[in-house]
Amino acid sequence: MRRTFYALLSTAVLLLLWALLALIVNKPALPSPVIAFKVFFRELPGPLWKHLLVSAYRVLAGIALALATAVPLGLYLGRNQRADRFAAPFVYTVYPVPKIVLLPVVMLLLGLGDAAKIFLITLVLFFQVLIPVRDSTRYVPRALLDSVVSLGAGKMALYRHVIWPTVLPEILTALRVASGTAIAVLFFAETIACQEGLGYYLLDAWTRYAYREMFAGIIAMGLLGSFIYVVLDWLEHHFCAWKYLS
Amino acid sequence: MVLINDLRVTFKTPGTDIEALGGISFRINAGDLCAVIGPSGCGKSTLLYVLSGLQRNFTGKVTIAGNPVKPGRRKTALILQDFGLLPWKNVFENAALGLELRGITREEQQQKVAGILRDLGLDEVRSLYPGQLSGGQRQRVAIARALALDPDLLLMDEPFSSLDALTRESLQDILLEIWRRTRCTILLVTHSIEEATFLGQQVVVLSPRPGRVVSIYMNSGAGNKSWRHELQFHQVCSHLREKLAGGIG
Repeated sequence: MRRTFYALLSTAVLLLLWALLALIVNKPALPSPVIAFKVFFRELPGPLWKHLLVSAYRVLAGIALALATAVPLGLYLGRNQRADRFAAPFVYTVYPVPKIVLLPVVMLLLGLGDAAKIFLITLVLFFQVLIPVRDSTRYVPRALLDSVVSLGAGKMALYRHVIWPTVLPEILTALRVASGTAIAVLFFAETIACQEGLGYYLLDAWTRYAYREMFAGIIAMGLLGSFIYVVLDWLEHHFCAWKYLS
Repeated sequence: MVLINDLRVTFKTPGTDIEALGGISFRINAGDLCAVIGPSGCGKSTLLYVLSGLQRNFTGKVTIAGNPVKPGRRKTALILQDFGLLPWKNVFENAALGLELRGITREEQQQKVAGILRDLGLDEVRSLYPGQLSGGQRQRVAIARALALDPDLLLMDEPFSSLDALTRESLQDILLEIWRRTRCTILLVTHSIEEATFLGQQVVVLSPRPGRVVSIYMNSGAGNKSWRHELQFHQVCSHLREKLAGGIG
């Protein structure tokens, strides 16, 4: 209840600031939130909904693929020093390279459709999930492992009862940070040789100087981001309830 | 029950090797309560790690109930210094963890653990998480988890050192009761002279690193709650303090 109240309050403050800024700037490039939302709700049943769905699909598929690959690998590398020594130079070389520069190569290999965009998002998220999973796996307190081993835990039981619960909150935190980046990368990927998705919708409105539509697209993008955030928040409160005890 | 003969443990580190235990020998009869005391870093914890099977690099002979020590002995229970409770499991789940790992059904876990929690006064907090408990309660959960396994050998590493004096004494009393009821063999490692004197029927004094046995004191008074109030208790404490200081000097 309290959380909902604060969420509504902060949204109201954000809209108020936006309205004030629009009033001060007083240019078509920055429409007031009232107009932007009017256009948003007018556009939503039409093309905007389709673009929103396409973008949501690409981001969620990217997140799912990144999790499916980075989490098992991170769990493995965190417990196998030798494998990590082998993998680390590769990870640290590729990690800082902005993956967006690979877009031409990815498009060349995977075509102009969904696959290239999803792959790019997966690539960005992969490293942002891999490194915290590996590190938190590696630094699980020794006493916890020892005491559970002494109770008779084997390798799989250790993963299940000790390592996974330690790593899960880290995964959710990493995703929260990375989902913003993922949407930014998606935007960029959708503006190149693309006919669908919020990136396309935004750029199209932009080139037509249709600022109201552009802001409707920005609202949609913001909602997509907050949707992911709310889901992650719910997952954390549901599966990591022990972290939120008084 | 426990036979230790010329046990040596050396940790290899880059540069030098560190000798933690420099050849110790003693025995604990079945059903005895033995306290090992020594200065910090004398290898007391290492000794428990060897007995629990977690530390496998050692030389010398260590047998438990006639068999060479090996990992995964089902009747050995270990309680570590910081209790080793899992923060994401509630009191019941923590106490039942050993049974869960052994594939015991939920119903049997329920039956077994409920009684133990009741005996230890943890019934009311059974659905709380470790982060919501006091230090004394956390320690009792660790004891409950060990007892759920029906151990015949209970290994405890500085179990009460982080507790305040009154909580510590009440837990020492609880441990005595458990020991009297279950008749399991207990090896308790501590740096507190009073604790060793109060609980240990046999007190093994170790020297600073590398740990060697300085003295073994047969402490016939231990095993009664009233012991800590007796005059002789303080005499034994002084005696052990001298031995401990002798080991250091």
